[in-house]
Amino acid sequence: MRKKPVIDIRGLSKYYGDVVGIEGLDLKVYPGEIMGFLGPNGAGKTTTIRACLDLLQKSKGEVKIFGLDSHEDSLEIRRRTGYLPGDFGMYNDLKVKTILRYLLSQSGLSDESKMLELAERLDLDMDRRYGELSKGNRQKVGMVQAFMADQDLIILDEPTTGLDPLMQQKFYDLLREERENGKTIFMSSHILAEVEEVCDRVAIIRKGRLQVVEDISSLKEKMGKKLVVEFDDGVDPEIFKIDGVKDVKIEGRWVTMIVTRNLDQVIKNISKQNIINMSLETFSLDQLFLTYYSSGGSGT
Amino acid sequence: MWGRTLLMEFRKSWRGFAIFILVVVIISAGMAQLFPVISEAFEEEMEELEGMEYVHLEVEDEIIHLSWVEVEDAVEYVVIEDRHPYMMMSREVNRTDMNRTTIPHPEDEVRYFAVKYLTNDSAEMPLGMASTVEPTDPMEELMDTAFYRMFTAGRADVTFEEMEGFMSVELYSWWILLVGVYLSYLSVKSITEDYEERRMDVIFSTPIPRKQYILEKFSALALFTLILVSLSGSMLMLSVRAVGEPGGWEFLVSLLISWPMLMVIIAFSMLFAVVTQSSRKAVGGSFAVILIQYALFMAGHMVESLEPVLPFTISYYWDYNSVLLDGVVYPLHLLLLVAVAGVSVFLTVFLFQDSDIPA
Repeated sequence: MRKKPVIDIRGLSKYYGDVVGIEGLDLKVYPGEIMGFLGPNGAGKTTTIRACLDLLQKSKGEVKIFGLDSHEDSLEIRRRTGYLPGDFGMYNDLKVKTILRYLLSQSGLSDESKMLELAERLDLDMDRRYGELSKGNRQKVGMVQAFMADQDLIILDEPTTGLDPLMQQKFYDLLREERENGKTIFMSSHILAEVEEVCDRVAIIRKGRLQVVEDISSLKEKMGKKLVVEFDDGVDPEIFKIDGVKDVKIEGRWVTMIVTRNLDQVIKNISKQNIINMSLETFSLDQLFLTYYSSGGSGT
Repeated sequence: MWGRTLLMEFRKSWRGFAIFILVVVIISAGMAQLFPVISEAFEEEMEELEGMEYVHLEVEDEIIHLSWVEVEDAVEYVVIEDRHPYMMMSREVNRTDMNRTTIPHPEDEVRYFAVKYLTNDSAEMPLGMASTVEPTDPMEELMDTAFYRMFTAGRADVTFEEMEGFMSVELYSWWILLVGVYLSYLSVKSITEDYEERRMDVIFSTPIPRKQYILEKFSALALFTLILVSLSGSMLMLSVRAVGEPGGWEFLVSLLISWPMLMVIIAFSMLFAVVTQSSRKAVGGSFAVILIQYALFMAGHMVESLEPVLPFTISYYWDYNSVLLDGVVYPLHLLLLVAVAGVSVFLTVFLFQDSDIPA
C-alpha cells in the first residue's frame, strides 16, 4: 500500500475571468519520488504549481501538501518546501551570498553548510552581484536557494532553463541524490528527455486538463512497441489480426505495426513466413508526448 | 523572522535613500542661509515708487493727467495700470508717441501706473511709476493678498522679515512636494519592483506571512522618513543658529511633525502598489492624490468658498505654522494622520492577503 501523498490535488480549477487556467485537476505526488509534470507552454503547469504554493487563489478544488491545506496552512507548507520558480528574479545590486543568506534566514535557518556545498558543486561565484550574472548562473542561484534549506519537498518549475548540458547532468545527479535522501520532487518541464532521465512518474497536462499520470515505464508499456518487419515475399494481412496489434501498415515487403499486447503471438505468426529483417522499438517519451497531443489527449 | 524584510529594504535601497536625504538636507539647511539677504531687502523702508521722479500724475474732475519726461531715443511710450503696486495683473491703457496722456478715473479708485518706452531697435525700457495714492511697499501689499495666503497656509501674520515666516513660505509650504512625491515613488517601487523583477514568488516561497511583508515594508519606509525629517530638521535648526537667529527648536519640531503626514503618503502609495501591481499606474495614482490634495489645500486658502475642502486634505493636519509662529502642537491632528495611515496599511494588508501574485 502506498504511503500518504505529499501533494494531493483534488478537482483543482483556476479561472482568470472567462479564461480557464486549469480545470478539475487531480494529482498525487508520493514521498520519495520525482514526479515530472509535462506540458507545452500555456498548458497550466505553472498555474498548478503556483496554486499549490498559495501564490494563486484556487477557483475550485482542494490542495493538500503534507496533509495540510495549501491556503490555511501555507506558512507551515512553505517551511517544508523549497521552490524554484520558472522565472526566477532577485536583487540585481546585491551579491549572491547576501541574497542566499537573506532567503535562508527568512526560513529561520542559519546553517549555511548546504548552501556553500551546493554553490561549490554548481560552480557558483557567491561574491558576484546577481545583476552581473548570466542567465545560466542566475538559474544556479535559483537552484541553490531551492535546495539549501534541506526541505522535505522541492518544487521546480522548468529548472534547467539556461543551463548548459554539463550543468544539466550535475543537476540530474543532484535530483537523484535528493530522492535517495528521501526528498520528494515535483518538477515541471517541457524537456522530455530530462523527465525521462530523472523522473519516476509523469503527469501530462494539456489545455489545463490532466491527460495521464503514469510510471514512465508502464506508460511506455501501455503505449506498446513499434515492430518493423521485412519479409522476403508478399505477406498475408490476416496474420496480424491479433488482439493488441494496431496501426498495421504494409508497404511492399515492409510491415510496420504497434504492439501493445500478445507480442509472443505476433512473433509466432510472423515467423511462419521468411523474415529478412526485423526491429522492435520502444517509444521514447517524445513520441508518447506527441501521441498525446496529436490524439487530443486520448493517448493509446 | 521579523526584521529581515525591513533590513533588506535598507540594504537594497541605501544609495537612493542616502542621496535623497542629502538633497533634502542641503535644501532645508541652505534655505535658512538665504534669510539674511532676503530679510535685509524687506527691512528697507519703501519710500517711493521706482522712477516716480520721471512720471507726473494729477487728478482733476475724474480725469487723470499723466505726463513724463521725454526720452531722446524713444519712438513710442506704453502706459500700463494696475490696482496694486506689484503690478502682477496689469493692463495696457495707452500707447502714444507724445509724453502725456489722460485717463478716466472713477472716484476714489486706487490706480498705479507704469510708463515704458520703446526704442528704435524695439527694446522695451522702463521709465517710471506713479500712483493716485501714497505708494505702499509692493511686497507688503502682495503679502496681504489671497494669492499669498496660499503659501502661508492661510495665515496673515507670516512675514519675510522673520526667519519663521520666510521658512514657512520658502520651505514648509512645498515640503510635501519636495519630500512627499519622491517618498511616494520609493514606497510604490518597494512593492512593485518585487512584482516586476520577479522576486515575489521566491519571497513568498519562504515562510513569511503577507501581512508581515507589508508591515515590514511600511516600517522600513516610515523609519527612513523619520531619519529624513530628523536630519533635515536638525540641520535646519543648526543652520538657523548659524545665521545668528535665536532658538531653532521650532524648525526641528515642525519638520518632525510632518512625519505622520508622510506616513499617510507612504501608506497610500503602498495601497496603490498592491491594487495596481504596476509601478507606472501606482506612481501615477499616488502622485495624482498628492498633487490634487495639495492643489485643494492651496485653493482652500485662496478662495473663501473652497475653505470647506481643507479638512479633506492631509496637509491641513500638519500645523507647521502653529509650531513656527505660535509654539503650539496639536496632537489630535497628528493622531488623526496616524489613524489614516493605519487604516490605509490595514486595507493594503487586507487586499494583499488573498490576492493572486502574477507570474
